[in-house]
Amino acid sequence: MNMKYRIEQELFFLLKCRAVLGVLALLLVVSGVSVVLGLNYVAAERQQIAELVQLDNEERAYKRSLAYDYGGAAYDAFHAVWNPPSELAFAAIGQRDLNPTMMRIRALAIEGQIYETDSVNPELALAGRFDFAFVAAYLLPLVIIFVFYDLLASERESGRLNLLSVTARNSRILWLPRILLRFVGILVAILVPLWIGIFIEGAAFGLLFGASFAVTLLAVLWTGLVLAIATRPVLRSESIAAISIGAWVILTLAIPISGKVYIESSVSGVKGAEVALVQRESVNDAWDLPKSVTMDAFYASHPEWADSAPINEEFHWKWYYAFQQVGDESAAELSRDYRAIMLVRDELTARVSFLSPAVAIQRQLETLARTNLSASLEFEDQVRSYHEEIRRAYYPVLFSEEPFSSERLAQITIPGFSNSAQLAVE
Amino acid sequence: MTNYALKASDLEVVRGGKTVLSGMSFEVKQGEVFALLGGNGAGKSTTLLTFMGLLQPKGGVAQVLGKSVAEQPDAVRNQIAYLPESAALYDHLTAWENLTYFLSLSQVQPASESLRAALDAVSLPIESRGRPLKSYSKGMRQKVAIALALLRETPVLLLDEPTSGLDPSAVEDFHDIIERLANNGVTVLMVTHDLYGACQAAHRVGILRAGQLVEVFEADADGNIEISTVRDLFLQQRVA
Repeated sequence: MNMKYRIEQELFFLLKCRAVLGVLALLLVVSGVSVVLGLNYVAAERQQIAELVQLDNEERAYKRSLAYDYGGAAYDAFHAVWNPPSELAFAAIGQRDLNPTMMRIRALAIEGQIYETDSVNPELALAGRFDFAFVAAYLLPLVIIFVFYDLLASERESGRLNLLSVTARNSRILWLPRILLRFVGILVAILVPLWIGIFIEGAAFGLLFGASFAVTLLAVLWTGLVLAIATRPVLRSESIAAISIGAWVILTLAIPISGKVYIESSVSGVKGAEVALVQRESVNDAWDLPKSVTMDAFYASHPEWADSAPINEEFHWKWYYAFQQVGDESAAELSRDYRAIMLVRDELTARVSFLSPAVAIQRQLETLARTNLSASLEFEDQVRSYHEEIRRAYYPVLFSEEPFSSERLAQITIPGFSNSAQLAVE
Repeated sequence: MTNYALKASDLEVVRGGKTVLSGMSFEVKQGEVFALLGGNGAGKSTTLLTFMGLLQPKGGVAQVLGKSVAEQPDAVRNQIAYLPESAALYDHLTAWENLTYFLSLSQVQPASESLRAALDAVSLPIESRGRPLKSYSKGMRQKVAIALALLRETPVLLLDEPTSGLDPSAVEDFHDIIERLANNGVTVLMVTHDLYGACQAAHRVGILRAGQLVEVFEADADGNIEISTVRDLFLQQRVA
């Protein structure tokens, strides 16, 4: 006679508890649905990126064939940039829902191109995505509450507790297998779909371990909290349920919402759309300014072209691209401020996560999935660098005013956008 | 080494700020059946809970087979089988499954023959043994609980209103079981307000009132307790 037999009996007992089994099955289904939706989401993104890259190449080649000056060729040449989803992105969509993950940029001012989407999807930012991180953060604690809240109270209220206590060799033999099996059941129900998703995506073991560990830690925290309430001998089961749900409301809703309100009110300032607006106003104003004002500003930051011939025409492409760049420079400080504000807010959100397990698990999964703010900012940096490559590729022919020839245009090569995950697309 | 299986020495137990047992002392010898009679609130169930280690006495000592309940609760519980008034088993399990599950808590893996013998002993109909307990009458559930107590094979049996819900025939069977267990050396402490049942099954009957043992009646040489004497005192105590 050993613990194995005891666990077998407890497993049999669990399999006879329809309510608990029903909730575990529901968790399994919900977790599975979130994983399937996430996999579909990233598959669609990858498909879009693949199509974007192919069509982008075809369109650029076609537009070049029609070009009759370098400025127009640059103007018509869009270049695809993309931030492919990582192998774990299906589990935590995170910032990918808010910030652009694929764009077509050209040699015009970049800030407006980056922040263009800031004014189009604010509602999605509020609702968020139904992904695995959501299931773990919000639904998992509810399942834990349901499974454990009346663990002791139901036995006490049915008059069974005394018989159980006297019959059991000790309280460890009575409660440990029961708690352990239910806990394992919860973990299996939520993690198996995740593991299948990770297997399909071919993610590294480290990601599987990291995500599983984070979810397990959250489950341990909630189980401990619910059991701490449920084992209070003075509480009836309905009181335990009410207190546990109250804790869920505070930890997963009240604290994150209060934190969001506090962060937004205390760290206010520039918005992405404002950066785009300033840049565009600068570009628009440039049409009415003396060209020398724009060119002097441009040459100050690009002295290598300062000896370019003066502009006497009413319109010249090099003036056009100069005021695009000056527009970016005029918005640069604002853009840095915006970035700083996002980082401060992110830092404050990290502090809120110490008070809210829901925020903590979402941040952890987004970090592992590279769908967090730093991944978005990294992508922005890559886009800016790539944009600089594009415009600097055209500057020699624009500022030295080389006569147009298709052969010379063909020599202007811009390597395709690449980042660490590009291979995943190819 | 004492030959007392159960011993209460000047027990004082407080529940919810109210003194339920006060200066309670008695002993039960090995193989003896001792019944505590008392009205509602007399402290009968509290006495059992104290011997089970589920209530801590404020004063005095409860001992089972020479071991202090307060100091060695787990060791004491392994020597005790308990039959609650309301046989609170699991409704969604069958009799067989209930017995197997509860015995696993005692780390006992019973043989099928043992289970069958125990259920035979309490006369649980064979055709009902594979049905969930939710379809059982109160008496049938009580029989399953008695079977569990028998299967534990402990030297001490604590019974809380054991014949509650049983039909007269089942009560007779139960008293036979108790007598057989006592003859095999099992010590039985039963609390009840079934005066006649107590006098029939017990070697001694104690009258409990307001947490104190006020009188103990002992069976004569023929094993009989004068029911009328016990009844008169019991009713007198209840009126008081």
